Amino acid sequence: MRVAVAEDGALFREGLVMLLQAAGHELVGAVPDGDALVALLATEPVDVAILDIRMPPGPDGGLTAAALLRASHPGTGLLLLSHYAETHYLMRILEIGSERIGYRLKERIAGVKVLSDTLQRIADGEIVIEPALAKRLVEAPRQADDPLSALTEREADVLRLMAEGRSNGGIAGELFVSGKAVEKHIASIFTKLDLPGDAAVHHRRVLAVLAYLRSRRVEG
Amino acid sequence: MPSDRPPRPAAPPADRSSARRDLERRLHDGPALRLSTLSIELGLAVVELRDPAARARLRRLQREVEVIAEELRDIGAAIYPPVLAAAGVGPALRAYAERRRLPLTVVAGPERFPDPVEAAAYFAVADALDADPGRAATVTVRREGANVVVWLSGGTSDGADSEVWIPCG
Repeated sequence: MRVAVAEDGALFREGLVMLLQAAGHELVGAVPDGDALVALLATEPVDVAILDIRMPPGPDGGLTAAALLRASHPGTGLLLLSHYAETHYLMRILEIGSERIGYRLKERIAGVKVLSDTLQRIADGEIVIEPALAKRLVEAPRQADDPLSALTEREADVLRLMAEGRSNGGIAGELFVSGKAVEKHIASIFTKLDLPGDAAVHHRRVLAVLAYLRSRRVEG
Repeated sequence: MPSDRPPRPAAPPADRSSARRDLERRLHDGPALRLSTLSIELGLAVVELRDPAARARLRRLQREVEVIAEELRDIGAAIYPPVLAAAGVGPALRAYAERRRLPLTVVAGPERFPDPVEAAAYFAVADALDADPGRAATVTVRREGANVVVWLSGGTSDGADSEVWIPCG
């Protein structure tokens, strides 16, 4: 698979490049910041771009570059790397996209197999979340009155498919209903989950991911 | 929730929040990044070795590096939580509760305050909950005039509410 790397730590970047090559991937380029990655991908398409979250430009340049790339190259997978596995960053990543995207700890993708598996799942359209963070989310104490129990069976299906990274059109195709019907279900899910309008996007995505993880009983 | 008690400052005059924040950043930029690089180097060595016993030993070393990285994260978060620096008091307290699996309800707007104020607010709650973990609690963080008011309900064995006023110019 064709990949590019943006990371400001030179030694880590060089090691990651060697690991990607050892795994048989075609490295299009390795650059030290987000702007250089955006410039590189303008002429060199890749299957997945790997970005450190905390690198120039700005404090979270990886997120800035990821948002730009998602807008200009929606089909390109994005793998965000960090020293932190935090819900705050997961939410910001899910605001960028809920498919073809991943968030993993730097020291946990340090093997040929785990790195290739992560890249392949992202290229296949999935959301890949650091297992330790996913486990923490699944095990978080739930409110006594779980709002998810208010969903109809069909709404729960829609939520699950959202969490798997499907578009509204994809959900419609899977459930044999119209796009309009899907939109109606999603609006109803928002209402039942009592999601504030101004924060709907990331809450929707995070809750969808939570529901998905719970149903899958993902192990850390 | 409103109090008729007089405001009392919580932030000590000699503020250490920027020093703590810098220290956490040094952990991130130095040892943490070196550990990640070391983990990658071990992963590369696994590819190059053929002896199954040697590969297994390297994988065990990699697991050990991961444990050290996790411990480093815990220490960094105790010094100055990265989410506090990145997103403020509300998200930082939610992250605190999530890590400890505490049923903490956080009511806080997105407003950001100066580092010393955010640190004082965060550690007032974290220290109270560290001292008596595992109890349901609600925390609200709001600005009231020239102060940020942190109100903690529940979370202590005596069941008393506590309120901290932090001057915020």
